[in-house]
Amino acid sequence: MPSTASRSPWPLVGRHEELALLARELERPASCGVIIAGAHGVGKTRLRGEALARLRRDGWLIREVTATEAAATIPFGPLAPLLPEALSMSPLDVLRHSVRELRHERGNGRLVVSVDDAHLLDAASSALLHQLASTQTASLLLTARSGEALPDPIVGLRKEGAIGWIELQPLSRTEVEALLGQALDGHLDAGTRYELSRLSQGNVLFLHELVEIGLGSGALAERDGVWRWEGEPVAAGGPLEAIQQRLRPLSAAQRGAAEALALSEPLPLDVLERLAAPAVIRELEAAGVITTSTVTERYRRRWQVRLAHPLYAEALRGGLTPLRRRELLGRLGDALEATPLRRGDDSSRLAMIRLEAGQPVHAESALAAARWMLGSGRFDTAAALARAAVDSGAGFPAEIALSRAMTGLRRPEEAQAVLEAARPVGAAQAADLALASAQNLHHGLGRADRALEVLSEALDRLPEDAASELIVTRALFELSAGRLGTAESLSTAVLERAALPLAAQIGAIGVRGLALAFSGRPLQAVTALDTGVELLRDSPELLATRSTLLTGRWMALCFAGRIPEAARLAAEVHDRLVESSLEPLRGYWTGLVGWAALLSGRSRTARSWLEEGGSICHRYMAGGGHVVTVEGLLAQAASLRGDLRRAETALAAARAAVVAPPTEVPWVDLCEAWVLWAQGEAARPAQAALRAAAGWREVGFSSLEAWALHDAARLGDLVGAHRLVLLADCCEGDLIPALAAHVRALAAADGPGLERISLDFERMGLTLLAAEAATEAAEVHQKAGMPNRARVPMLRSAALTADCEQSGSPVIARVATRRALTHREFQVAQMASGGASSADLAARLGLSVRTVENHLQQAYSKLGVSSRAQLAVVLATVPARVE
Amino acid sequence: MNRELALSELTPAYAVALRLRDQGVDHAAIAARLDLPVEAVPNLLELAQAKLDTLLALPVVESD
Repeated sequence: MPSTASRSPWPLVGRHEELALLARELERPASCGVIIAGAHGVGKTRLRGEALARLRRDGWLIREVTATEAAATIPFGPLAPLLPEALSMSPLDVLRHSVRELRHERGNGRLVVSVDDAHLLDAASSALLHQLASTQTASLLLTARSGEALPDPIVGLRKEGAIGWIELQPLSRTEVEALLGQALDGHLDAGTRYELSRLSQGNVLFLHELVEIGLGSGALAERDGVWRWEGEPVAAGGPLEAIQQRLRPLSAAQRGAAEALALSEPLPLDVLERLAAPAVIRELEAAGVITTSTVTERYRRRWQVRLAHPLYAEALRGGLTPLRRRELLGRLGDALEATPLRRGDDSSRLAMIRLEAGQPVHAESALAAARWMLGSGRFDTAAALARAAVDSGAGFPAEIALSRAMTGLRRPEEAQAVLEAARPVGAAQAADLALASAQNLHHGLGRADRALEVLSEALDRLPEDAASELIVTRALFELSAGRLGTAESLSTAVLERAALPLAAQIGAIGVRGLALAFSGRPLQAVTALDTGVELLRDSPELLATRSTLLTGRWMALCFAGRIPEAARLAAEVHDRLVESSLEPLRGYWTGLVGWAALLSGRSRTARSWLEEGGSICHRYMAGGGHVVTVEGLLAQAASLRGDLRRAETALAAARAAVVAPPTEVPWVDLCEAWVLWAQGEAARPAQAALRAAAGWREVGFSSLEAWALHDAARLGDLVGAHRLVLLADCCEGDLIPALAAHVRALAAADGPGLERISLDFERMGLTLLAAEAATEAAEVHQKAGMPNRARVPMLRSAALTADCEQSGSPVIARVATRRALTHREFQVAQMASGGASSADLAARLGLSVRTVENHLQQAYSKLGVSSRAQLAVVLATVPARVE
Repeated sequence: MNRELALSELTPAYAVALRLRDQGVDHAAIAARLDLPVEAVPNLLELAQAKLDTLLALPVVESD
């Protein structure tokens, strides 16, 4: 249960280097010990505890105490547990006596005296520690809060260089993510990892509190195998005592300024100065509650202010009553309005503040904010802003924004009603209306044919200069309808136009690139798409626009057999999308990261990413290509993991999401092939793959047709081999020719050929395919009576399979079945691969040791392995039903 | 992983300390920049370098 995961102590992650340094410091000649300093919650006490545990294991005698403010009021109070009963002694006698006693206790061993929160020590205790250290009676291991004054004797040791100083830093983002993965014992959604890392700023205590809050409220939960935070990051009034305590001493004026920042940070300094006196702002900065920085915008420097820690904002917001919040928003809005707006998103921010405060919103600001929110996928806020813009008289553009928000909210009927009521003026607005209607019909209502009709009708009556984006959208719809030639010619025709708007130009390049990639010309596709990426080189903020091009580039790289390059691209785009909060796009790219993992044979990793991607896609899309793709891949990954139930539900979700049957149904067919295989069907898996190939052949998607024909061969039917060879002759890149060569070598029982293909697949990053080809090569050699020749590919297969996260494979399973271990051989092999000795096995099975060893030898021979470790690797690839 | 990418993965204080050291800045100036006692700087640099070395030794991860 989640709560158990959080209450048990968290593992120590990201502190390996600190522990090694601590050990070195204590062993340094003439060392008196180490001080671990750091901010509250950074992990000083945890590190000290781990260091002490290691010292104890190494034979050190440990004496440890924790200093507190209360104990520090009494001389020697914090160290009392270490001292002798000496009520009548003078302080000097206590010192002498204590040193003598501890030295006696230590004997010839090594002693460490450890104090947590040493900055709270009284003068007498710190003098005793100085005495213990300087007489080499004990080494000191102290923790102290950064920035707090240490007692003079300890400072003296530090300045003499006698005691080492480790300034403990927060964990890096990578370390936080690793810690979360271990603490929750599972895969975390990338957005959740990013947000928890950002909010905690690497502070382990804050991170732990955040996780506690999330688990307690149910916001952080494991859904479909992925830990995800849903809703606001921190619940109002959450137990963030450390932060509340830090903010409690603020004056009313200071708190007011901090609260304003919490509602809308960062704020330009001149805006904040309208809400608080400069002296108050300086005090907040000196107290470490806010930070200031400068940014250069349009060749001018601008001062901006933000809270020093993201959790301050959460704590401050959580403490606001509704009326106080409304009052602050009103003042904030006035301050923003009274200050010249210099940034594009200033007006958006003003509109959102006014909207939340329930005040009138300027129409243009509301419209700009609605568009901004649409781009970020925050459709609910976009809808509220667009409606405010409509009410304020922004007219037709606001109605279009409202309809797009409704489409995004999966309320396409309402979107259509808004569009039908809209009254465009002029050709440009008529084009916008047609575009929004067509997209709502296609993506929202699943009426692809009607969407094309709307575009055609608009194109017939609109002048050419207003039509570019309509043509690009039509080309995209034609592509998803499987009319590759039409899509390519439309996009090429648009690109030949003069004075083309950038959005239309990028869109056309994207569609043309995809058409080239799908039709077997991935190298031309990469070249074409790179021209589009180059056009956007100076506009890094246009990530959503760039994503269209990069999706095509990803496909093209895969079809060209450049899988590692495609994987890197997917990971880079995914990370940028996490940071930019473009959620709808992130869902698809998360799926592409999973696809890349699946291609490389890592089905467990793939499944985690695909679960996450599918879940995000479903949040923003009712159906369509992205959902079909990601759910279909999930069905494949779950099949390879042997999780039949998940494979079946994912396949059903993919099938239900089909909007454009000509291109999407073959994909579902291919995914079904893998589910059927996992169900243990004999001939139907290959038939489904061949059906997919036929579907793609019909629409000219040669690259995918070749992939499906190859899958059919893997699933046991070589009937498509000839067609695959023909496709290889007319497709670019390394992948399709390699697939064809594989099937040809398999049909000809060409052992050396299969070995070569295995190397080619491995070079392309297709590890599972490489393992399969090596297995087949070994099988061919065995059958030809050349067991020695079979040995190398079999071991290669075992090594490659070990990198495939125990993915199931029809090829390897088939070979294992053909080698047909007897029931007893399998039983012995399985038990032996788990580590049992022959004598154990003999006792458990009621056989003689000699018989057990005979069975084991037979199994080794049939599987082509020579050790129990290799046996375990090979058996891991054999699905349970083979047993 | 290249050095610049690895530096960007470090906790900010480590990255700042290493960059300043690489530019020949002395310990006192690094301590002032990071608001630390000067005696803390040698160990901070040692830790920063160790963490950087750990990152540089990682294999290139393609997708996860």
